[in-house]
Amino acid sequence: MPTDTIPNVLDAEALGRIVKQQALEGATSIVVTRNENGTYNVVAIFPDR
Amino acid sequence: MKHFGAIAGVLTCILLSACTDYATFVTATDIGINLDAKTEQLNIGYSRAELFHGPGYPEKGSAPSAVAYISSDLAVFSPNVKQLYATGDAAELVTRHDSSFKGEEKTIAEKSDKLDGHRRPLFFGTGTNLGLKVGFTGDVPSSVKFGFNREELSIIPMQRTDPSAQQPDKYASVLASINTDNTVTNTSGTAIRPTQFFATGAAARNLAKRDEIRGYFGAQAEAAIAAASFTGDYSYDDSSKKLEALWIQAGKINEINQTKIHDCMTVNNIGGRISFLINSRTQKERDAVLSCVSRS
Repeated sequence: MPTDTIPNVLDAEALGRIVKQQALEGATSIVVTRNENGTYNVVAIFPDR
Repeated sequence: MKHFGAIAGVLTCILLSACTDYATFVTATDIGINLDAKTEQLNIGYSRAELFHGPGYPEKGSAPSAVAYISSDLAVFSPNVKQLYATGDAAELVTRHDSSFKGEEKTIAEKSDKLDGHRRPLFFGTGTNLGLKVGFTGDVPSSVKFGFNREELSIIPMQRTDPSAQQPDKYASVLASINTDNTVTNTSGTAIRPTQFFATGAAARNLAKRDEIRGYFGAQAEAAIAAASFTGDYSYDDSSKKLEALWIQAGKINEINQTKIHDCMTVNNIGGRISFLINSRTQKERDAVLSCVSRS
């Protein structure tokens, strides 16, 4: 499955925006992890085209 | 294709159940290598047909075992050809992968198909033509023509009655694969290296378990995933905001602008999704797409 990985997203506002965009774009799964420095990593999985 | 010129006759036979008390397994290979030092032209031709026609046993999804394998380097000087042809138990034995190497996973061999029940005609065939024509200037390739033509066909019988939970349809196993590896370097180093497998019944299932066969599909899948997957650091700026405003309006995607953005990403050789463009690609790439969208 194709994935988009965006590490080091600065804050929760940016995180919310990215997740919403990926959901609108058809992501089947979105995994968010928080780094020790407070930033977030986002991994979105998309269906095969 | 000329390989299947004989198919018409076989198909006629398939319609006749009398043909099911024979199993016919045929392979035919033509190889031609021609190097003309005067014109500095090299021609390599490879043609192969594989055909199995015999009984299938639709109640159990069974088929007699047969296997054919050919691998050649088709080297201009001293070409090598390795070939294997086997049927029945020999086909099953030769396709087993009972490795005893330490640390290597042992693959359990498939059980032989039980060849009982109602016989129906089964046909499986492939035809392959490969050609490589290379012109040299000195020892350097100056022109290359490569042609590839392949056909694969299987006609596998199902039971005559409708399938039920107690007696579902079962599809007999057949397998055909080809891997061509072409090298164009100089007159002595240029070669086509075709490797072909062809198998039916338990032999086909044995082959399907082998890493050489599975690995090919695994590599294909990994390459496809790698091509479709993207990783990049977070990057959001004014250009991101402009793209976002074009793409999402009142909380919904603007389909017209989305199409324009996708088209402009393609024009600028930017792969992936719009969300990735907005949040992770460079400002230069975003500006290129914005500029393109404004012109469209």
